[in-house]
Amino acid sequence: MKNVYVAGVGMTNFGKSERLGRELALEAAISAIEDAGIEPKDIDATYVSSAFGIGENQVHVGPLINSALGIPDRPSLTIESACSGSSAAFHEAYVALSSGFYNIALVVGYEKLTMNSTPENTRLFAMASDFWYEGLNGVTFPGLYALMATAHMNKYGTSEEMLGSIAIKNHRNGFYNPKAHFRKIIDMDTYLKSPVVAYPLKLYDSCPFSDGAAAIILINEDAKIKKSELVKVLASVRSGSMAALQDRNDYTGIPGAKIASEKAYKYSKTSPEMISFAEVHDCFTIAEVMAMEDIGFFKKGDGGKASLEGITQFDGKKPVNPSGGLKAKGHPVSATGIAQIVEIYDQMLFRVDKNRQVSNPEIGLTHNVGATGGSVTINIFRRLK
Amino acid sequence: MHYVKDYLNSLKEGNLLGFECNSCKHRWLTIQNFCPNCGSHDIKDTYLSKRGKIVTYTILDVVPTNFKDKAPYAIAIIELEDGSRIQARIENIKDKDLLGRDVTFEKGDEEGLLFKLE
Repeated sequence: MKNVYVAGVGMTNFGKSERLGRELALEAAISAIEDAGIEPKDIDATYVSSAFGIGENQVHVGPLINSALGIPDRPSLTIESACSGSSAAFHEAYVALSSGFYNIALVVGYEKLTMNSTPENTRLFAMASDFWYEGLNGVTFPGLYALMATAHMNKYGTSEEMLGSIAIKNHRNGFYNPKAHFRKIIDMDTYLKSPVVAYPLKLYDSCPFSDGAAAIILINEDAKIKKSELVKVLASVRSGSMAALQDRNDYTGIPGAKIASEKAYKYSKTSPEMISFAEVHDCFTIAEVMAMEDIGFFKKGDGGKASLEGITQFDGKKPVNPSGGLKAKGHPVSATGIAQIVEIYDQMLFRVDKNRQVSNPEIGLTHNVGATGGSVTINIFRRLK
Repeated sequence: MHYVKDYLNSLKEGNLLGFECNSCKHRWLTIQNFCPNCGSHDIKDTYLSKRGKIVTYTILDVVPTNFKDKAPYAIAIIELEDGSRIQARIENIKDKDLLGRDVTFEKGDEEGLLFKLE
């Protein structure tokens, strides 16, 4: 297998945008191309991800991106994997580059959602469940994570304050991220008093619906490029879980995340102890608790406690979501997987705000989940000196 | 072997059409052609029990457009008496502590499965 590296990244502001999804995707793609110091014609293949393009009357976006970049003859693949779409696209690009079939790939994820009302987006998101056995009954996406929250709180004593500490941390980090959807520091009182969305989860447990795009240039060791600031991909692993929650034995974690991370540690010859920091899929605060336990940062049931103790702060022993996470940075569904990698890259190049810069970003992990864990991607990266 | 359409038709007749594995006797509701427990393809159609206990739940205030006039309602994972697990909606929620509560099938239609607290 050939070595694969991230050579450049780009990201739009996350939040509410008047622009079309395809325009956001293109903006991020051009930023990544410029950051990598390459020309569009250097790209061998393009991987694009979006989940709800149909809401904009636009699917098959890959050829639109390539046409706009002046490379209509290059192959493109448009991928959907719920909230893990662009990490799935990243994985496919990684496989193609590590095999040597392609040398340079553009990977871009985008979503445009804020033109829809909250009830309409709630209806759309429920489509990522096993619809006839979950969504049809009236469950929402927050509702599915709330089912897991109730189970986790009941089994391990995870408290409202523990969940609150995650929301507060991620809002604090987002405050120092100029591209974040929410740049607002919150306190425990604000958190505790926020309205219930899906009991026991509140508004401040939940990530927003955002517009935005993120892109990277991924290369293998045969690519001829001038840039020397590269981040090495040590592992990219995907797994899954039974699609419907009721078909799992346990609701306090995501089986596919555990499987994928164990394999990723094995392939990269690393361990949870060796990971300097992680960007995890905190679509809800309880999801960050489960993520930290599934990737082995903390013992099962201890994730909430660790957060309350401050271990996962950007300057703590195990920084988690220094970008602000989905909670504060925002969650443009199919942009999220790549946005996590953008943060890993920027942290490793020491080019983020010093108020959220991890001090020793040697090995970074991304954890990206589609729906309630039907799809999971775990990637591990190393900084090159 | 049945399809989603047959499941929806069974609801209208007051039944829960699911599956049972001939090999390990595991029972489930969702369309899985191989047993989720042991992987066997030797499975049959069966009606699941209509009574069970709440294993985990949520109470929804923000709901999809088509459920607007029913909120707030609970969604629960219920372990039925035959050991199978299903997800259903429960309306008319008066208190927030629903873990372990006994529930029974009320009806099923184009709005999915509705159970009621005993």
